[in-house]
Amino acid sequence: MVQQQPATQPEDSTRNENAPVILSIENMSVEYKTPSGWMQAVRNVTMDIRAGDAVALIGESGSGKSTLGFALLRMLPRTARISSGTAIYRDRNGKTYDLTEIDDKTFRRMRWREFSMVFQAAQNSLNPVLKVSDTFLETGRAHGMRSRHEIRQKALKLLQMVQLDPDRVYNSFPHELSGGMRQRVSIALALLLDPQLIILDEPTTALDIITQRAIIDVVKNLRDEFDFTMIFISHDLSLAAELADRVATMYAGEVVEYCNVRETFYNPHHPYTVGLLNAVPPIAGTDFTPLTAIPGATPNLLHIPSGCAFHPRCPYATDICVQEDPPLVLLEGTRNHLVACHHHDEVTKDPEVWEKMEVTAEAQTQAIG
Amino acid sequence: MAVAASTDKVVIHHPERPAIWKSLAGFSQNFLVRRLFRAFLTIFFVTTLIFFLVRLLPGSPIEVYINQQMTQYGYSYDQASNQARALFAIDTNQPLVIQYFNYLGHLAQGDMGMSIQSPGTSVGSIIASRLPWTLFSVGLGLLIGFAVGVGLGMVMAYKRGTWIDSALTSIASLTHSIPNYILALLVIVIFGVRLGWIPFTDMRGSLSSGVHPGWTFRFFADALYHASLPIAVYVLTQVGGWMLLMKSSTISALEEDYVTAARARGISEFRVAVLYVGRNAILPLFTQLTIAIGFVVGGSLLIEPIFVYEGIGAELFKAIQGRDYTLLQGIFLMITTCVVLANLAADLLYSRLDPRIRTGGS
Repeated sequence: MVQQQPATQPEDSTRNENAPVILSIENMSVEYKTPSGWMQAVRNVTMDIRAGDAVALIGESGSGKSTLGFALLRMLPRTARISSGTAIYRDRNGKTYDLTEIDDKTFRRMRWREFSMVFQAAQNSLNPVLKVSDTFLETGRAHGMRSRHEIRQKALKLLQMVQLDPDRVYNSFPHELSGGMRQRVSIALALLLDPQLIILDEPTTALDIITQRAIIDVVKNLRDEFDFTMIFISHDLSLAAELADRVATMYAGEVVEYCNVRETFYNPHHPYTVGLLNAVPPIAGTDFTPLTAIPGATPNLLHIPSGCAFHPRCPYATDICVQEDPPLVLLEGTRNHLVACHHHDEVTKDPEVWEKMEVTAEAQTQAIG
Repeated sequence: MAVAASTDKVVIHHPERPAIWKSLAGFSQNFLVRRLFRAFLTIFFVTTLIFFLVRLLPGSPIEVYINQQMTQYGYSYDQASNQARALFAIDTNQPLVIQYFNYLGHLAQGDMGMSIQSPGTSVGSIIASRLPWTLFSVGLGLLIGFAVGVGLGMVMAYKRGTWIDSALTSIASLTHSIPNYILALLVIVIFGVRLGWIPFTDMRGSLSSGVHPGWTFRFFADALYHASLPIAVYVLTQVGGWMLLMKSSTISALEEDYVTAARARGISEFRVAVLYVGRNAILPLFTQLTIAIGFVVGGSLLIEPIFVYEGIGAELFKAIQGRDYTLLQGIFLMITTCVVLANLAADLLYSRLDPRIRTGGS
């Protein structure tokens, strides 16, 4: 049975400030080939991830968050390519690799030992003709675990930790398990080789609300036990609030704000982050202000607006926003709150700002689309 | 919580029922037993259908014989019909229903009767001497065609969009669309007669004279030599279909999340191709395979006479021309049985391959 943990705000959300950087992404851009040209899905993303961090990549559909995750693990479809940038990865021995450069063979050996992944719709990420045990054995053997017994022991322990009945699940076929159970199996599988970094791509998306809760608890407990670094990709702000130490907000392929989770929710400085927060019920407190949607729609990535990509939907937009793309800079007076906005010091959480600009924004978006 | 949702079977006890009842009920629910029963029913219905259908063919064996005697030897109708009556031990004037039950009664004892055209020869012995050759050639053709098609189909899927894919797709579509009897004729006319590359007259029959069945290399080599042309035709006309099916099936398997996930886990590309892509892509082809088995055995009817291969197809061809009712019944019964058993085997294999249907089945 799942043990219910009280949902607390992580008190130590800045605990990793001095930990070594294990993944340093610089200027990474990813494009997809489409019939009408290369589509920029990820644009000049620069971010550091420290050992032990839980980083949430949040944003609307099409903001490039999953593409970034897939690019890091070289899981991009054949129509996509990394057009620029580096991703320097540091393993536990301090050896560094550029994930965009190293050869496939080395990369294959690093997979799952160094970094693993839990997939979106993990219900389908298990081969239907293989038993759970075969999947564990295959994975272990692909990375030099020779002993069947050793793999089994490790797998049973992990299945136990994700709150499953280990013996029964280990000998089951995927179709004999429920969606939530399969998701737990995927999480257990991700930990088989003690990776340093785990990427979770929308880990709770296809699950009902109760199961989501259980999965969140499982991930929390596992982090306490194994101390892995985690990047999780989600559009669900409450999930970010539950699990993340740091939150990177993405818009139109760019990171527009990257800061500690408390800052994201209590002191956001990018209009888009504010817009996202205003669009969902408040996570804490009893202040139920009416929800406000961000006017307009996400831009067509084939025709990204000039300057700041968010300017057609932004109530603070001025001429400079149309002309210049604001760089991601450190917010004055903070240690690690990065924001990319020309008007970041004017941004407030007041929803009235948005209500006033709705009409013009829609007109602008349509003009672009 | 989700953990509590057990998928274990719910066992319902009926304490008042006697033990024999329970074991019988369990027996009838057994996958294999149900399938065997269904197979038996199919064979029975086809047998019945064939019995009446062959008698609906225009003309009767006696008329065919009489016509033959009249045209070949210049006998009068009366002479020929007297001869026919003396020769044929069947009475076609008996009511059909009586004939049918007689036939069933004999059949139940394993007796398929005597051939009408070749008096004194039992249908069983004709089939026993001919059927193995057809099963050998057709089975091997099907197997090679399937294996090659599946392999090339995967290559096409992996190389999709390249010239290899386009070339193979064109070849597959072309060979797939040629009927097998046309291809058989083309092989003889072009490679046998025009170019003279294939000694097709020498390859007639199912064995060279002087070679006898046995566990010798000479026998197997010779059998293969004589069967090679029919097998080649079976392979060529089928391989295209398998290639195209496997290609589309593989492409959709490649898109599956579990394939991406396996790659992310660092499983070698070869193992991903075999165990994740191939293993799943081949599943829908098995249903097609069961259908193909029937078509190919039927196809031997046209191919074997063309190559003068002495299998059941050639025999069937003769039996139809001579309206040899008993032989026709026997051959159709055997073909039906083979096809039904092959289907059964494919079904059982499928349920081994796909764990999801192992316990279902209805």
